[in-house]
Amino acid sequence: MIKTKGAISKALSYIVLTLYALLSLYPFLWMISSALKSNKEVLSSTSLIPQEIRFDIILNTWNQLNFFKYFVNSVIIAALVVVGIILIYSMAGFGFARTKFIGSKVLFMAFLGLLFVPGVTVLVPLVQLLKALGLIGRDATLPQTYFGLIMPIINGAGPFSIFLFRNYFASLPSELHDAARVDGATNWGVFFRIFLPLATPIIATVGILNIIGTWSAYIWPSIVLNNPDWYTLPLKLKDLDLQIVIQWNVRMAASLITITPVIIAFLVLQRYYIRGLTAGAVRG
Amino acid sequence: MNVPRRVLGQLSLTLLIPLLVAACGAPAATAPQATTAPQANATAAPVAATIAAGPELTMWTWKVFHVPGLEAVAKNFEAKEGIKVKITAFNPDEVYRTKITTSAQSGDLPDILSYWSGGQWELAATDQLMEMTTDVDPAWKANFLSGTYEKSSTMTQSTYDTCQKDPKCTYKNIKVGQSFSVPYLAGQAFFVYANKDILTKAGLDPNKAPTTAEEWMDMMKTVKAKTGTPGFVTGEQNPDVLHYWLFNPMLMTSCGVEKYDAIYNGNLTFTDPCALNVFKWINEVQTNDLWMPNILQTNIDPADVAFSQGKAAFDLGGTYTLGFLVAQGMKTENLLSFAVPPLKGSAYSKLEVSAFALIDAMVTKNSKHQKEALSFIKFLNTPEQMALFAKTVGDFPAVKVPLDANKIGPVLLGLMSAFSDKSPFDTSKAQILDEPGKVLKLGLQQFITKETTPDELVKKIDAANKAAWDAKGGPLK
Amino acid sequence: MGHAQAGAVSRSSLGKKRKPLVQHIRDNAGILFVLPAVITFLVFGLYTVIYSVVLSFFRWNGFGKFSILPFACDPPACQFAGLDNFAYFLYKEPTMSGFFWQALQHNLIMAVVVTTGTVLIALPIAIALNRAGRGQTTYRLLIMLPMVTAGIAVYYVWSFIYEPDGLLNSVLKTLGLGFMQAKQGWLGQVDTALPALMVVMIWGAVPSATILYLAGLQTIDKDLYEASIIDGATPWQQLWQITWPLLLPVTVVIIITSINGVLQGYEMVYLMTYGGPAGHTEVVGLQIFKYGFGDQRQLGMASATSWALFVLVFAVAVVNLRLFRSRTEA
Repeated sequence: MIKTKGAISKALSYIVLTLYALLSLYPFLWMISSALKSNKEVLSSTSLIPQEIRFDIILNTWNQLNFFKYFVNSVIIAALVVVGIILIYSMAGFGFARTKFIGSKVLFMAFLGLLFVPGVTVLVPLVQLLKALGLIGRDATLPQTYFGLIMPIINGAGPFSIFLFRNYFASLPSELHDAARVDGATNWGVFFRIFLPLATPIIATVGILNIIGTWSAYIWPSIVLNNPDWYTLPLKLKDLDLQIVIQWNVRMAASLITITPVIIAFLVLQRYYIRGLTAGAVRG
Repeated sequence: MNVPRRVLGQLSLTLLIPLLVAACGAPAATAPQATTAPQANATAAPVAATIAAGPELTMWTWKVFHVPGLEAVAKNFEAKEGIKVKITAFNPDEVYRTKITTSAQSGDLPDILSYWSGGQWELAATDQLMEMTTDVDPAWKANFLSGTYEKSSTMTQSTYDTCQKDPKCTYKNIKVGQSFSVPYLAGQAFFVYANKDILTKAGLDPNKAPTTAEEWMDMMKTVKAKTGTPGFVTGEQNPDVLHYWLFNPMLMTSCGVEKYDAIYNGNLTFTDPCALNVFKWINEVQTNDLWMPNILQTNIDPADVAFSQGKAAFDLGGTYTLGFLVAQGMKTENLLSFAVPPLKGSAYSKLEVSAFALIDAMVTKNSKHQKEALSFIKFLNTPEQMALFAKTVGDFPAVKVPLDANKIGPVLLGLMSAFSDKSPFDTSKAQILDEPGKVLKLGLQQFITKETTPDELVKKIDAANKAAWDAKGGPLK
Repeated sequence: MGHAQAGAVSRSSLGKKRKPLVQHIRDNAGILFVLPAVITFLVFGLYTVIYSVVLSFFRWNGFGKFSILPFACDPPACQFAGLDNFAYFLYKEPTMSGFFWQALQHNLIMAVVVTTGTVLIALPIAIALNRAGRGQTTYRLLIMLPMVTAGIAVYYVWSFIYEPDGLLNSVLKTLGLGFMQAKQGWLGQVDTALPALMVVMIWGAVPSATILYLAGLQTIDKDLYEASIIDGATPWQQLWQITWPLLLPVTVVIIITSINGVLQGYEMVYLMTYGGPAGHTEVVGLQIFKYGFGDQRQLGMASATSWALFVLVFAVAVVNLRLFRSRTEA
């Protein structure tokens, strides 16, 4: 009886998932189908199946994008941002969740408050700041410019990441920590050897959230980057709008090409999710 | 992301600035020229003197689709002078403005900037731009379409006076006659396009443009009744469209320029029949169910797309609309175009339309190669290069180009011949204040949502207009 | 807690009034974990926050000089405005303030509906995903897709779905529900525009909420469920007695980020309705965006409005935290 109950609930799960997956998938399918249509058909037909499948749009777009060059730039920036965020804020999350120091609560609340600081009005002071630090402008080198580009992004991701890491570390059983301390481990040892390895699901979560945000960022990179050779993919994309009429098929093809790496990153990070899951199961 | 905003920024500026610029009624063009002419003679130094090979210039714009046109000119310039010009685009408008603001803060502006015509004063006032007053010599000036350079690229007496009176004006330090930029793109709104096929299907004469707004309304009704196709489409998601493209031209013809000014400037009210009738006409488009469905969520580009697909018989737009329609696959033979027609019994029987400057080019103080940058702008402004630009991008140059279909293409040729030299808007002194402007725009949209009526709306606008002028110390004299 | 040991040591040296410095440092060594985050903020964040606050008391068009270290505000591009900016949009300029309060009202409706909707959809999906076994990887990828595909393309698709002859209306017609169609398009009608927008917002927020819930579910000890089954608990009871309380911290995160996103967000509204029809989807974030980036160039006004919004969001967040904390502790 328990078995049938389990089967029913599993079937129900799959139904819920399938329905919602379709809803999630539809726009993506629409993108693919639009990339294969003529621009006129994109605008006039609701059908997902193109009247005439045209691969030339994706091919031409790929060639025009000079994909690999800008892909490398995008990867460098996204990787630096994500590694920075995970390193800096997993530590901070652990610090807030598992150690005590004077002002810890106040400091945490201050970081939380930063979560709500409006983003629209900080662009001008950021540029002034980067200029004063020599990280922007004609004389800035590539490493300087990229550093100036990523640090505000990292800082911007701080409050939410701290929040996530702190909550996660706080939810792990405290025996873990105590046992390690009894064995004479320092806080650093506890963090790097016990807590960080257990944090794969939340690292994957923070990673995914920030990869997507950084990968698609447009306004901030377009302000910092003056040298077209240093552009990221989204900045390069706009060079495709060379006609008075927006070519939706070209845009969709370009978007598809651009987001494919993120989907792959997604697939890779899934594995860590699963590892996090099995780690939890083994522990239980 | 620049989808719906193709002309949005330009619009607000093109349509507002001439109104502000013309503030003092003094013939705008004469005053500045009187002061600049002698100077121009005194220092008429040849600009493109000696240039060592090497410097690479950068030029920014927010119109990505202008890049190929500018690059074609840059290529010719390089062949002639040995100077490279790199064209970079940042879009949409908002990103471009932010890019300029931040670059001005960090001292990284490019050699040459494109900017909304008439908007350059703020940049000039904060010492970001090289002064060009004496560089634009009479020969150069003679190239421009009338109503462009002398109106929005030179500080006119009336713009100056308006600025001095306005406590919030930020360019009080610019003197009459000074110039910091030259126009390279022009255009005009107020054009209605009709789909001849649909007119024919409805049994109307496809070659006869309506001479009055009432006739136009009847045509729309006939189309709707005979073919089921909605009459009218325009990018109404953008609240400026109904106000500037439809209401203002109709108000101008209906009331005449004196009353038009008096109403906006708070000396007369919108309850005046000449204004009220315009509101009533616009409301009737809704009561007769002539708008295309979803009209309030249709922006400028989608509206033009819908029109080109035959989803409406009439499309309201500007010079830029034609190029867009043709690029969408519409045949010029299938298009009938006419200026927004006046109501019966209007002060003017026809709306005269002249060109406005839309985009100016300017040299920044940042530039280490100001001389070379200036020579590029001068080169860009020559009729041959402007024709090349116009033909490449299908947009309207600010310079008189040879009226030759081979050089500029048949589409632009047709448009260029439709312009008059002057328009009542040239002499208008009306100032549309922010607050009543917002009430008016919202009200025109509320006709469509049936949330207000003409009689209600005029009262609301009058109240807002009175309050706004009172805050400024009373109506404009 | 990690502090227990250190606490024990310090208690043994209670004889002296003050702890020795070394002890102090050791007690507070945890701050070293937080230091990189603090330094990053001090260098790359503090200036911008202060700047933005100060700017809200000035009128500035973005050109010319306005900086605070050293202080510079060169007229006429920049002028001191005192509290004018705040006064204008709160009450002084009727049109401006009218728009603000109307927009705020929309924001508040959105905050409640979108947040509730997101939680109600994301939690069941996360639970289903967690149980999905072998299919989990595929389904997770599919459900996360909107996170990647979001942006202009997706907004365009949705606008297309909502058009008068778009997908939604045709589906309704096929189902024989033609009377429910929105004749003017779902985004074009006064009564349907805001709800239609909120559906897209929920759709966009569900994936990241799901991913957070999933991470949360994986920290829940499976023993708890097994024990409860032995006690004869129904799945419903398990949900209410184990899953929901243990996921409360995650729910708080989702609620707070959702409210924050809804109140400060503007991009979607900007792309889909631009505040229309006739202002019925206007939101505060879009107004700030128009002040800051539009052709009016009122950067001080943009700052002032965004700080007013900050106060509101912050207050809502604090209330939420309090509310949920007392529930978890009880």
